[in-house]
Amino acid sequence: VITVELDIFSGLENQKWDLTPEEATGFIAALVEDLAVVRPLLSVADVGARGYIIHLTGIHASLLGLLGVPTSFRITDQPFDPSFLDIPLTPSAPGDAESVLGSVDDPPNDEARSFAPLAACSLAYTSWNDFSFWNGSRQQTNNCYCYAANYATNNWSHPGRKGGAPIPTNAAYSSRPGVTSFTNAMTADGWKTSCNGESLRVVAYVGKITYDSVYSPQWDYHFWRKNLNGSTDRWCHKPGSTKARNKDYSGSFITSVASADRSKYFPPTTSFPVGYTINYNERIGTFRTPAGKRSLVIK
Amino acid sequence: MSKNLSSRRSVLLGAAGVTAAVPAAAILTPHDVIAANVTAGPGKAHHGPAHDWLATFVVQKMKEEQAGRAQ
Repeated sequence: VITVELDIFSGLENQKWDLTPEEATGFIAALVEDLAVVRPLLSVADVGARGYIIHLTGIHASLLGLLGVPTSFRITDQPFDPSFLDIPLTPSAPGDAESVLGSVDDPPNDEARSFAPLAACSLAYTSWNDFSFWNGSRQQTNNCYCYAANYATNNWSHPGRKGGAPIPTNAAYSSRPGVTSFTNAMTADGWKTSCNGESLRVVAYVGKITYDSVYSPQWDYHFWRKNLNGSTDRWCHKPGSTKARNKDYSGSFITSVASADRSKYFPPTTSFPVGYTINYNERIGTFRTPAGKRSLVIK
Repeated sequence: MSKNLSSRRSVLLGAAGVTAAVPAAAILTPHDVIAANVTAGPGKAHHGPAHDWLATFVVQKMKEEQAGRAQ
């Protein structure tokens, strides 16, 4: 079986299509005509459309494997960054968390003003500029929610799946979940909406994906988690299968998610000739791990 | 490319229903494809027939799904 995955989303799963036998034949013919299009799975840069992820199983994996084609690879219009070859491709075991650096006094900022911090409220945080935990073998299988929870499930997690109150990931844009649905899902997973001790801080937004033509809008969600550079806020995030990072779409450090650039237009490419805009514009809210929890077990 | 490998590739592609011309210099050892691509084009974008095939396929699928939702 050959599965084509259009790599766009951050929180939700990407759209995927299994090729029919006839379609598979056509794709293989085009592929073997020029195998130089095959890119490592993780070879996606921080800018531009990510292109496609191709998954091969069964007879197609066997056949194309004998031509030197991996079982999962990327086809993208982005320039090739050879440094990605150094990244190990074997996923790590699920259920591990990045080490947490410590805690500090944590005065409220514009992301937290809606909650009155208690005297004991403090921030647990990880590195603001070392994302090696996420940007190797864990990159492809952990989304923004895994990064937010500081818990690598290696299973592309969603709010509420662990707590039994999942957000409706298949909802149409017009029926997308809002504050109530997300809050119910997050609290079912164990997140808190107030601070009573040392905790991770995350903020969630829902976004709109608008295509130039062809397609009606879709929704997605995205999370940012607060870290620190000294005493300066550094909100960090991991957009879907891409690297965890500390900058917004404009390339600026994120001292406030509310004022960060959360919108980007991706122009048409030769492999996906439909331009699209991602805009995370609907603020859901700020959530915290329970006191003393430096990661949250999610699913 | 050895005659043995060339024959094996022809058989494999035939089994997959592929009749298009295949370049004689195709690499046959697993993972060498990517290594060769790194050597050939670091820092460069590359366009091949697979890009065109995917562009046609995915846009068609999106149109079909759009039409399906509209009904």
